[in-house]
Amino acid sequence: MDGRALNDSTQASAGHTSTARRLSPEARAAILTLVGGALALAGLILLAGESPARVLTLMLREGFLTLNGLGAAATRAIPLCLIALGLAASFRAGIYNIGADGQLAVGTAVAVACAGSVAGLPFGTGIALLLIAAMLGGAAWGAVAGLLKVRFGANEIVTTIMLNYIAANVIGWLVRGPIQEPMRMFPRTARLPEILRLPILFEGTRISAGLIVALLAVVILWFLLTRTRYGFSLAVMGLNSSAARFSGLSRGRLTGGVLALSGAMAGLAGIVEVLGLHGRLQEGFAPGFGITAITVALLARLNPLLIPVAALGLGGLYVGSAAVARDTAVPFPLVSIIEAAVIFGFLLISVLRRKA
Amino acid sequence: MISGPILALDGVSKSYGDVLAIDDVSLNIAVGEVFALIGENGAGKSTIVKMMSGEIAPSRGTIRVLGEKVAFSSPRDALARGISVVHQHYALVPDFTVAENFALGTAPLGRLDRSALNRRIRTLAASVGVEIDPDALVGSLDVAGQQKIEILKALAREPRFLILDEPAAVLSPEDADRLFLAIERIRRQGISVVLVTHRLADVFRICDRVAVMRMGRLVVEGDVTNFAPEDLISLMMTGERGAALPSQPCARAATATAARGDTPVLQVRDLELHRANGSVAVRSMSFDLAAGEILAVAGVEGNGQTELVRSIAGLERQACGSIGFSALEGELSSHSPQALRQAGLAHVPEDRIHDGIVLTQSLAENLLLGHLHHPAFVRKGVIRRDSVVRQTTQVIQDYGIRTTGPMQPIGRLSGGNQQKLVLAREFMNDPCLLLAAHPSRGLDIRTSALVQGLLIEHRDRGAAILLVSADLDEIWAIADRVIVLSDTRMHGPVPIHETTRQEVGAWMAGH
Amino acid sequence: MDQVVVVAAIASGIRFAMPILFAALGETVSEKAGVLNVGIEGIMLIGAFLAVLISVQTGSPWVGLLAAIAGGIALGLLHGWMVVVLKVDQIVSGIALVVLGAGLSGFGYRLALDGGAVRVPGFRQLDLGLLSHLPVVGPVLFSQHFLAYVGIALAFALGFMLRRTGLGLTIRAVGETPEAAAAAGIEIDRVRLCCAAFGGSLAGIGGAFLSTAQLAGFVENMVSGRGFIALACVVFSRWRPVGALFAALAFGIADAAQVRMQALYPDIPYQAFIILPFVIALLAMTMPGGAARGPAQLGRPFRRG
Repeated sequence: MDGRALNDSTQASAGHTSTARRLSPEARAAILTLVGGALALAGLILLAGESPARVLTLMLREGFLTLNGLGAAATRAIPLCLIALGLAASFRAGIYNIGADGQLAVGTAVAVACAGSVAGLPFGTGIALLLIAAMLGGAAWGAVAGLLKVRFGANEIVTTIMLNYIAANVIGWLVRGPIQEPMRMFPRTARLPEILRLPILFEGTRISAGLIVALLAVVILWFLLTRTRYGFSLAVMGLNSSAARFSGLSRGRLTGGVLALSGAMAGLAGIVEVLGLHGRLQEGFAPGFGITAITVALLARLNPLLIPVAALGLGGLYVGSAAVARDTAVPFPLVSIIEAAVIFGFLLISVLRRKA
Repeated sequence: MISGPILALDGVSKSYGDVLAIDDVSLNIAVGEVFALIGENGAGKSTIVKMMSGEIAPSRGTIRVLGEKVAFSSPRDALARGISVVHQHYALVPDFTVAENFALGTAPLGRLDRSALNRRIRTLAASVGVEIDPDALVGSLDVAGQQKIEILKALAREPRFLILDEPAAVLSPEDADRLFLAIERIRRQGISVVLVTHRLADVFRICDRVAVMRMGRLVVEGDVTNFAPEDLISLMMTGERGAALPSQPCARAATATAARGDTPVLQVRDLELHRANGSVAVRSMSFDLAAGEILAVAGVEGNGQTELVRSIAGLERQACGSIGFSALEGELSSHSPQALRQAGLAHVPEDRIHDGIVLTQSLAENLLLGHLHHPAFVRKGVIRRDSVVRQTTQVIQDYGIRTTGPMQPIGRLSGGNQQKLVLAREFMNDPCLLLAAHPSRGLDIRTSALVQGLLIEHRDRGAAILLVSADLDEIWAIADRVIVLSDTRMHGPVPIHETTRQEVGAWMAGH
Repeated sequence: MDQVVVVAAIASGIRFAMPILFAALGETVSEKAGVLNVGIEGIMLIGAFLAVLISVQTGSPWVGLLAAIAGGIALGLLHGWMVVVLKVDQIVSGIALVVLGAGLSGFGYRLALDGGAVRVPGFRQLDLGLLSHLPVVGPVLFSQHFLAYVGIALAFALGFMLRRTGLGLTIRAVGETPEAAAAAGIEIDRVRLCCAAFGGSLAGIGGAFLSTAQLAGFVENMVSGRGFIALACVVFSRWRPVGALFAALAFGIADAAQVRMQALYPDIPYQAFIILPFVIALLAMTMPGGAARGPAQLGRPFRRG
C-alpha cells in the first residue's frame, strides 16, 4: 500500500480508465516545459561562458564518482534525509511545513543546552538523551505551528516561515550570549566533550554514526507511514480530507501531530549534524537545509525508502556545484536553480502521470 | 400575433452509448403559455431541458424555434434565440450582492454604475411583481431569494422562452405562491414558460398544458383541464391513466416486526435542521428507528435529508432537539464520529466520490478506511496487510466487484463497483445502525437490485436502517415504514402497507 | 524617545513598508482570482537583482524598474503556467519559485556584479518644495520616494477596482465561484493567468524598491522574509488592498522602530528587536479574524464540467 499523497489533481481525472495512449494537451505542455527548462539551464551555463557538457560532467564526477566527493555527498545527505523523512509525513497529510530550518535550530539548541548535564553519563547514554532532547525541542517548535493552525486556522506556510526567522534570531543571540564559547571569538558554543560525539564510521571521510541514525529513521518512518494506522490516516487526510472526516478521523489531532513529528525529525537532523560533524553549535551550521529537504522529499515522491537516495542525490549536487564553482566561472547558486528545476520537474512529471 | 409554436421538438431522441435516455419525443409549446413537463426522477425531463437549452444535442430529430430549424452547439446559441434557463442549481456568487451577481459577465470592465444597475433590477423585479434588495448579499438570502435573482437574470436577457427547472421544489408554500404570481406576470409579457416539476399542485395552479414523461418517453400531452390529479399521478407512475397502483403490503413486515427489540436503536426528538446557508430545512421531526426495520426518508432533495443523515452520523450539529443512539450513553452529539462508528454506526454517504472513498487508493485501502480500529485489520496500530487484502479479495468475490484485484485504485472502477465496495465496507461489522443515503442512485438495474437485497438481508439480521431515497419504487420494494420531508415539515412515519404511493406522492408535493 | 526619533522612525517606516506593500497588493489580486503564490519572496529577489543590474548598466533607475517588472511578470507567468494551465499543486510550485528566485538572483549577482558592491544610480528625490520642510508632516508625508506615493495610491486604486468595477467583479468571481463565472461567459484560466502575471509584476516592483530605494545595492537573499510577511499581510488585511496598506505600514514602522531601538537599548540583545515584526505577525494570526476565510477557490485548479 503505497499511499501517494500529494494533493495534485490526480483525483479529478482518475475516474476513467484510459486505454488510449495519446497524450493529453496538458501532458504535451508539460513535456515542452521540461525541455524548455533544460534548455534554459544550459543557456545559463553558456551565459557564464562555460560548456554545459563540461559543467555537467564535472558536477557528476566531483559529486558522485570520486571517493572524496561521494563521502562529502553522504555527509550532507544525512541531515537532509532525516529532515525529509519528517517532511514526507507532513506533506503526505497535505500539511506544508516549510519551517524545518527553525525546528532544526530550536531542537539543536535545546539539546546543546542540555549537553553539560549529560556529559558525565556513560558513552551512548548521553548521546541518546541529546537526540531525544533535540527531537522534543523540534517537536515543540513544530507544535506551535500546529496549534496556530488547529486553534486559529493560521496557514502553516506563513507561520512556519515566521517561526524560522524567530528561531534563527534566538539561536543567533544564544551563540553570542548565554551559550557562547568562553573565548567569545565567534558566534558558536564551545566544543562538546568527546564522549558526546558521534564516532566517524569510515576512516578518511566525515561520515559519522549519524548515518546509522538516518538509516534507522528511514526504516522506522517507512514502517510508520506505510504500515500503520497512523501513516494510513495521514495519507487519507492528504488525499481526501472530507473522506477522512466521514470515516471518523480527527483532522485537528493529525495536523498538530504531524507538525510535531516533522519538527522532531528536523531537531534530530540538527543534533546529528552537531554531534557528528561540527562538534559544536555555530550560527548558520545548516544553511537552507529545510528547503533542500523539501526537494529531497518531493524527489523521492514522499516515499521514505527513496528518501536516502534522493538525499544523496541532492548532497552530491551540492558537492558537485561547489566543485563547479571552484573550477569554472559558473557561480555556486546554480545549485539552487537546479534544485528549483528538480521541484518543477517533479510537478511536470506528475502531470504526465495523471492519466497514465 | 405569431401563430404556430414558439418551440417545437420533432421526433427527438437522445442516446448515451447503448442507453436510450429520450425516445422519440415530440412537443409543441405555444407563445405565451405555461407548459408543465412532469415525470418521476429519471423520466428524462432534465435531458429534454438540456436539449432545449443547447447544453446537449439530440441524437435524432429536430428542434424548431418559431418554425425555423435550429442546431444549438452551446447554451449561448440557445440564448441568442431567446431561450433562457433557470437551473435547479444556481450559478451565483454567494459573496456578491444581488447587483454584483447581476453585473457579472454582462457589465463592462470599468466602473460599475450601481445606481443604474439597481434601478434596472428594481424595474425588472417590479415587472414580475417581486421585491428584491439589490444590495443584499446573495449568500445571506434564502433559496427563494436566490431563485428570484436567477429568474431576474434570465429575464434581463429578454427571452421569448423561459425554462424553469424544478423551481418550486425547494420553496416554502408562501414563496411558491409568490413564484407563481411572478410566472403569471411573465406569461402576460408574452414569454412562454416551461415548468419542469414533479409537484402536481404546481401544474394545476398555473399551467395551461402538461406533458407527462416516463422512462424517456412522452406518455401524454394535453390541456391541464383534461386531467385530474389522480390521472397524472397514475400516468407518471405507470404510464396509464387510472391504473390501479401497486400498493401491496410489505411482504416482510411480519418478520421484521418480530425481529424488533423493545427499545429503538435510534430516537430522534424535536429535531430542527438547518441548511448550510442557515435556512431552516426541517422545523421539527421526531421518530424512532427499531432494530430490524428499514425506515425510508422520502421527499424532494434539499428538504433536509442530507442534514438529517449528517447529524445522526455526528458530522454536523443539529440546531435543536435530541438524538439518542441505543449503543451509546447520552446525547449522540456528545460522541465523536469515531466513537459512533466503533459503537456500530455505519454510513453510506450520498456523495460517494467526495466523502466516501479515496479515488487514488486501492480497493483494499478503501476497505480499511472506516475500520481503522478493527482488531482484524489493525493490531497495536499496525495494519495487518494480509488480513486486509484477504478480506478485500473475499469482498470482491461476495459482491461481484469487477476489478483486476484488491490493489487496483478504486478510481478505475465504475460507479456501481465503487458503491459495492462502500457497501461492503459499511456492512462488514454487522452494524446495528446503518445510514444509507441514496445507496442505489446512478447504478444500473442489476446493481440496484443487489444493493436493495443487501439492505433487506441486513435488516433481517437485525440492523436498523435509515434509507434516504428519492425513488418510490425502491422505497416500496424494501422499506417497512416511510417518512416524507417537505416544506420544512415531516409526514409520517407510516407503515408502507398502510399508505399508498398517491398519498406519499401528495406529501412530497407538499399537500 | 523624543519626537525627532519617532518622526524619523515613522518616515523610514513608510519606506520600509513599501517592498512589502507592493508584493502584498500583487498577491491580493492574484489570490482574489484564486492563484496562491507563496513564491513572491523569490520574485522579489529577482526584482531586486534586476533593478540593480539594469540600472547600473543603463545608468537609469527607471529602466532598472522596468526590468524588475519584466522579471516579475516572467516568474508570475511561470507560476501561472504551472498552476493554472498545468494545474499542479500551487504551494509546491510556489516553493520552487522561492528557490528559483534565490538561485537566479545569486547566480546573476555573482556573474554580472562579481558579488561585490556597486554604486546604484538612485531615483531623484521628488521635490515637493516647502511641503517637505514642514515639521513632522514634512518628513513623514512629503519626503518620501516617488514610488511610495505610487504604492499608496495603488492600494486605494486596487481597492476601488476590486470592489467597484466590472473587472474587479470578474476577478473576485473567478476566485470565489468559478462555476458561476464560467456560466456568465468568463474565461477562468485567462483571468487567472493575467492576475498571476500582475502579482508577479508588483512583487518585482517591491524587490526593486528594496534594492534601489530603501537600500542601495543588492545582497544575496536580501529580501529576507519580506515576501512571506507580505503573504501574511494579505491574510491580515482580509484580502483588501487598503487593509494591506495598513498591515504593511505596521510592519514597516515596527521594522524601522526596531532598528532604532537596537541603538537605543544596547543592553537588550538586538535579536529581540529583529524578531519583532515576525512575532507581531504570529500574534496577529491568533486574533479573531486573523485567519479570515480567503477566496473560496484559492489554490484550487478549475476544470470544466
